[in-house]
Amino acid sequence: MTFPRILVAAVVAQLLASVPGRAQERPTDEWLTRPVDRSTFEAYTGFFVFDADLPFRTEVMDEVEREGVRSEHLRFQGTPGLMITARFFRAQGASVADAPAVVFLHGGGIQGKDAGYLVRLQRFLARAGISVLAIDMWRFGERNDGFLGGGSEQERHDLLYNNDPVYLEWVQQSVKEVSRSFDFLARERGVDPARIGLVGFSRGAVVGMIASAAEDRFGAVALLHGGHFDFLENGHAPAACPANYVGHIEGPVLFLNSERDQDFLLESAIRPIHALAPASAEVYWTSAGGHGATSDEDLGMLAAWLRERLP
Amino acid sequence: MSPDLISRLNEALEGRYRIERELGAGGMATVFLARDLKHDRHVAVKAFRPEVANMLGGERFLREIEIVARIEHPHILTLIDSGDAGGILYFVMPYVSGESLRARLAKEGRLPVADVVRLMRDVADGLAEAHRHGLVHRDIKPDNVMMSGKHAVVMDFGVAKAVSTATGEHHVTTAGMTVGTPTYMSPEQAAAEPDIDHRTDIYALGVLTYELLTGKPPLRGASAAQVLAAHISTTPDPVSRHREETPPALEAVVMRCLEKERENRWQETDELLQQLESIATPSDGVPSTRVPAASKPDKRATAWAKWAGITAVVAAVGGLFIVQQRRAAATADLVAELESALESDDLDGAYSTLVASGRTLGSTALASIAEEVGASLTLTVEPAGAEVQVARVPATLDGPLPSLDLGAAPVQSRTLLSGEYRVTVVAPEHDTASFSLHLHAGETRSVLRTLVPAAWQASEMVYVEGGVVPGPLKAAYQGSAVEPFLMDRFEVTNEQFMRFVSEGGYRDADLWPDSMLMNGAWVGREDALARLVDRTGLPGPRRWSGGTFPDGRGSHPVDGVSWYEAVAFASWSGKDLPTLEQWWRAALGDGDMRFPWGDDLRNIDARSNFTGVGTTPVGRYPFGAGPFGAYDQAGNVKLAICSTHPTSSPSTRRSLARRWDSGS
Repeated sequence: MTFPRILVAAVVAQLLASVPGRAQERPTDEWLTRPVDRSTFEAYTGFFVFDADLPFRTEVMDEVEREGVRSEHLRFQGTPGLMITARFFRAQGASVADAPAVVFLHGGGIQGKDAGYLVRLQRFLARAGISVLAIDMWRFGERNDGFLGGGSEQERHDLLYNNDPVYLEWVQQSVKEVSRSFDFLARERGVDPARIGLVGFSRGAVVGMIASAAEDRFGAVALLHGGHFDFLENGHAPAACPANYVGHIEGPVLFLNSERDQDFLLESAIRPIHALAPASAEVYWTSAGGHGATSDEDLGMLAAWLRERLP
Repeated sequence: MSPDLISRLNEALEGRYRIERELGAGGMATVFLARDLKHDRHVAVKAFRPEVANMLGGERFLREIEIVARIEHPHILTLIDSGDAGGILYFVMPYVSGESLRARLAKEGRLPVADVVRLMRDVADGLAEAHRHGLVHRDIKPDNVMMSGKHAVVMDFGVAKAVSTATGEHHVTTAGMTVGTPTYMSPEQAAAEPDIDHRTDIYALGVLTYELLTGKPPLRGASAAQVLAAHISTTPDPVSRHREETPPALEAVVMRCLEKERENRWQETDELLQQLESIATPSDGVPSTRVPAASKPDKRATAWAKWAGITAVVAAVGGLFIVQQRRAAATADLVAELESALESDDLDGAYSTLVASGRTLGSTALASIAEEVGASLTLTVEPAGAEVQVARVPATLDGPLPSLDLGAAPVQSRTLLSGEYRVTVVAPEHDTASFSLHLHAGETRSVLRTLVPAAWQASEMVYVEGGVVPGPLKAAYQGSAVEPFLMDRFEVTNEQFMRFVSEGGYRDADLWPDSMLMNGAWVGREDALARLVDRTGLPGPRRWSGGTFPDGRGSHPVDGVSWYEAVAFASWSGKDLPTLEQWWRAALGDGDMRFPWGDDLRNIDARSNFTGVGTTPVGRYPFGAGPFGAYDQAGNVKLAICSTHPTSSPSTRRSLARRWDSGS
């Protein structure tokens, strides 16, 4: 794919010019009130072009069946030379081909897909009859190459989220891998492409907004505890900003958020994103607690919502 | 260990092991019961406290401990795995469901001599293997020897060495970590000598055996320092001073283990093992006590022998007289002591005194006591020849009192002090039975128990003898009897119910009736199953969430299941729900009592779960077990039963027992 030179220049200029306010003071984010226009958005999608014919070179490291869930620990090639580590969960005894599935994007914790509270959520969805491909995003979980430092939240922000060029590169890679994960489910595990959805949690929801706008094949997109930026975030690369994407998601969208979220703040990070989303997007407010909290009722609602939209 | 650390451990072990519950905690570490996910089996995970782990230094410690993995032996608990889980050092061992020798000592005070010999031989066998590999345990003690069936296995091999290597200390470190335990330390350990060898283990085995025989270690003191000093300089009493019936050969073996100078102990563990084998097989005799074969006598020697013989006879007669005098005095003392205990209504004290004396109530000298507070027990066991032990349950329920070995069944007219007992019956190729028994003063009691053959693979079930229907139904069922049957020893756990859910129990139409009665209305199967869901709408008990049970509750009874779910589970397991008559029969047997454990109301909270704060793991209340050994029949969760005829109308469905939160 090629781009008009002027447009590329404009994108780069935007990228470099955007140095928002720092530290605790929230920037008045122009993208929240004035997201990029459609042609710029389309230009952005060029960042996420991936090689769909690349062999997966799938390796299954382990298979375990317990408590109603069969899980495969595996890896497959995402982009040339970079292997994605993942776990594929499905209901014990169920046929993969007959069940819907989701690509699951973890939050910003260094453990990636394997954080205990996320594994519980992934296993729940599998028990509910929705297969789950939980992947480690680049540099997280099993793909931790030391780049993100010792594991503190501030360190990750300094090294990644608030470091615009690095963050953009990371978002690019992550979005490509989401598309590859879609193909993996369809081609390597035989899931009906019309029944593949996306679930993103926290940072995964941020990436999920971008990925599901850039990759329009997802049948349903559930974004849990996400928002425009988190409390420690002060960098801002427009091409990696969910505000410039969320309005372009084409399939059904569910936002699950907490009004008491202490990480993605309600007024500055959550409500503005909801406002930019397509009018058909549904918003569900959890009463379970702050950032990341989900109740039994929330889980039941999420499973029902996904099943209904990925029939 | 805090829940936070448990969750850290669980996260680090995700995919390999899942922590289920705590088995025990010591100064340095906590041991957890865990599920090995790959091999679907239970294992024990020992996790060191983080501050201990910091001091040990992970890599070096793990390197040391992994040396143990090289040893495989039936009497050594092998190392399965080890690692550093985010700063928590841990290692994984096979799970042994039996108790430690420490627990057995706590229950029984001292062990039957034959058991001691067998256990000591097992431990020596394991040690001999380790010593052949150049490994020294350094911390042999009752806590580190587990019972696996009737056999002993040594655990924590390599831990003490790993700790001492990692810390550079030889006994008590500044952090209070003990490398070796003062009571069981060899003199050279106590003196912090650097060149500890296998003879340290031989000494500790001597201490352990001494304690198993007498109920107390050979050397004691008010402080650790005093104990250490005693190991270096105090000669212990001969074993027989504290347990008369100790065979001389066994005493000689133990006392040689306890020599201060290691050169004077058994030099090789194999040599010690050989001695123990000889004692355990009496027909072989023991070399040190064997009388040499007679050679042809010479006349002079014969003459001397006559004089010597006469002298010996005189000495023997004199000795016998003295022994008899002493015995009569001891009997008088014993009777006085027992009478004093009985006057103060202290039957537990009387029991302990009696057991310690080695005498039985059946002896003529104690007839008056037997008449007052004795009861006669005849216990017939199928199969005959099973070994029977009883241990009195004290009024305070702070652990059973020392046990009495009643020998091989059938036990005929054995006089015991009246009261509550825990009876244990063991036979080869059968599951061990353990049940509650009440004896009332003056009664003559005949009891029949049947052991479940191991081949039936029903180890989690108890055999309930047929007989009358007791309890509230007694009058209504007068004259009719219940046939013998097997019943689960414990309530169905969450983990067991999870298997039913996982394997499609809610999807299998054959397990469910076409219609079910719900809230007073009949509902078709599909609609009914849509209502039998957990808090997140997934099939399962209504107190579950996300299709699974609450974290850490795998061993708790499943709660919040409907009667239909109970029936489906039972059917899936190849069993039936018990009938009302069977349930009462298992709970009360032939006894005329209020609860499975008797009539004790004062300790009801220690015998069953009426805590009001939630379910407790099944089997948590051993003193609440019934006359056939079934647990938790009085309280924890409600238990479903079926009607008298399993095929009759569901309107006869019932549930019994009380929930933990039900009011009085």
